Amino acid sequence: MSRLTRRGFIATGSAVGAVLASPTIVRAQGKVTVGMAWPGMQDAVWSTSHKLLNEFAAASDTEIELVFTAADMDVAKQASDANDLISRGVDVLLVFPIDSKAISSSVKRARDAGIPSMAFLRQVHADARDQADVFVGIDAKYQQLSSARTVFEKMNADGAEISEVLWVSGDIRDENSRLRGVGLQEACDEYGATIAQDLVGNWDPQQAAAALAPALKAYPNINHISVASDVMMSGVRQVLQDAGKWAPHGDENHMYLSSVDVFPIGLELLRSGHLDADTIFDVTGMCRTAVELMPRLAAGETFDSDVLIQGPVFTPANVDDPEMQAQLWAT
Amino acid sequence: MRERLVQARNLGLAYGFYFLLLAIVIVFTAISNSFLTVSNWTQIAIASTFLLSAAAGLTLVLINGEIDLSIGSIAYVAATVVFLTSDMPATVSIVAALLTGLAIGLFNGWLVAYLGMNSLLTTLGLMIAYRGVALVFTEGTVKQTGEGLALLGSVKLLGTIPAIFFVALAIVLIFQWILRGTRLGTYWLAIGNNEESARKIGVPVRRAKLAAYALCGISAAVSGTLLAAYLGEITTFTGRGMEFQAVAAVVIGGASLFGGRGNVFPGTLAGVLLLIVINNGLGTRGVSPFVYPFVAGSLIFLAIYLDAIKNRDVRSVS
Repeated sequence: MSRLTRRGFIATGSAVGAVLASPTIVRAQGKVTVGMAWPGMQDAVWSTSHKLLNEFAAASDTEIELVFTAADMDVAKQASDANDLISRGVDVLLVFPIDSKAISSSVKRARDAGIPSMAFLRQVHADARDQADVFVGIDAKYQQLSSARTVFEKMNADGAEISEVLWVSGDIRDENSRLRGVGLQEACDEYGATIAQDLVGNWDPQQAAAALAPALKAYPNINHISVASDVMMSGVRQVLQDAGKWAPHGDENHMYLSSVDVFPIGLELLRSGHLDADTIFDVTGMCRTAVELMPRLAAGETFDSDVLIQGPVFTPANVDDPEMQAQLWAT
Repeated sequence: MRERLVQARNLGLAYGFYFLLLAIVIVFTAISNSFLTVSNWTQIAIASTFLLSAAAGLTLVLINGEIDLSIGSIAYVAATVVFLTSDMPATVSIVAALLTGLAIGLFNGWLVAYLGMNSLLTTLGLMIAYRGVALVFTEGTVKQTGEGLALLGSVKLLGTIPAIFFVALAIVLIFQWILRGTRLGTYWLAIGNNEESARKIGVPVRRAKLAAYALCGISAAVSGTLLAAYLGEITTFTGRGMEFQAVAAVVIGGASLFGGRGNVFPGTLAGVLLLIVINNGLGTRGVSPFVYPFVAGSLIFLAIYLDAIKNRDVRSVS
């Protein structure tokens, strides 16, 4: 049984708010020391979340000290980092797993030492016996579902044919990439479309381009490409330019594009009309929620639900709304 | 009869991967209408460009019997220099990136040739260190290149083929000329065959190796610069995993992991093309993405196995 099914999950800002406003909150007294076992700093999300967690911790009513370790994508080092943090006697262990299964042993050690743990962004694998006490992450399935759904709606409004979609996925070993694929499949099912081909981009624009170029030849009538992250969008743009299919909405050569993350290139392409929908990767909301839960976790509060953050969908029509702009973190 | 079998075996060992490349092209052409088209081969050329320019320099190092696993990180560092100079003219960015590649290549070469450090372990460590340096400057985020460089990256020659591919091709041809047409190339082959003997006959082993690493650093920097120009941005994925793909392409192209044998042209070019064509061809047929790693991995295994057979033959003759 999946962890989501077993424990249920909370999504959307209001639901998160409900958890945060729970009357059964037991407040921790004094300073809370949180040990962070991070995968590294090589990725924009990793480095930004580290920065934002520090900012929210500094602004918190409770004094929160974050003790940071980075494993440089080394699974063994992350386990060692987690052990060091446990030995140091932190109040909460915050893990951003490199390997969803391997991290389970660190979670168990923390529990044996009486230290609650929080998984951040990447869940401890559903099959693992020892789960973190709470998971704070992004609703990855919703991200792709909402983005693709927005594009299908737009295609309907334009009278464009909805049939096949090319899916430029992330890393085949990455749970977030897989969930985004599930979200796209759900959107396709809703609108009677099919995924023509899964093109693995490995979150790398060069690999995305190498995979997309031949697929465009194989499916010359494709009119919708869904991309797992804006990080691969520069590769997609190059291939579409080379294929003569890079045109803004309204042009007969326009290729409908849905994507996720709302990175600077996504904003630029939304404004130019080349990108039709982009669901934000709400790192800000995730970090804020994680910091709010830290004192409660340290005080012994238990959580029945995962906390999954759902960000809004950016479109060419709303991209410059002040309300939407306030949610940006990657610019 | 036995003689013919031996001849056929030697022919297969020497040219097997060229035949395989030809066979794969024929098969994909037969099963996919879109494979043998100008636009598809333009895409193959683009996809080959970045790996080709990096693998060309690595070929020279491998021929010396050494290795450089830091090429992907050098590419990232060079791309980072492009970002740091993005408000300057494109030529300044390019020169700065190439000089950075040269400096890193010289440093790697100095460690290996003059300090006698193990090239595998040294460059493995430096691969992590160089990437770390680049991450400090990029903060792990996507950075834009200057408009001038992005414009250069979009220049097309002969109607459709991006100019960046011709840059990579020029590097291949220049390196092949150095390898086969100059004394330095002869030194490299001699060092790779037997370093001690080369030293005894007066080959300046340390300087020759230093030169190979310097050229390798430049070619890796070219790869990073071309990728930044093509995409118009620098991501943390620049050059990631490139070293292993490059080693695979070089070995598939006939260079020996033990040194003393190999060519940049047509060897490494064919090795790169083989990897890219398989990826492209499977893509045009809509094959599952899980198949490519299996096919590419099998091919790399086969190349290394054949390399071991060839070296066993050489050892038994000597």
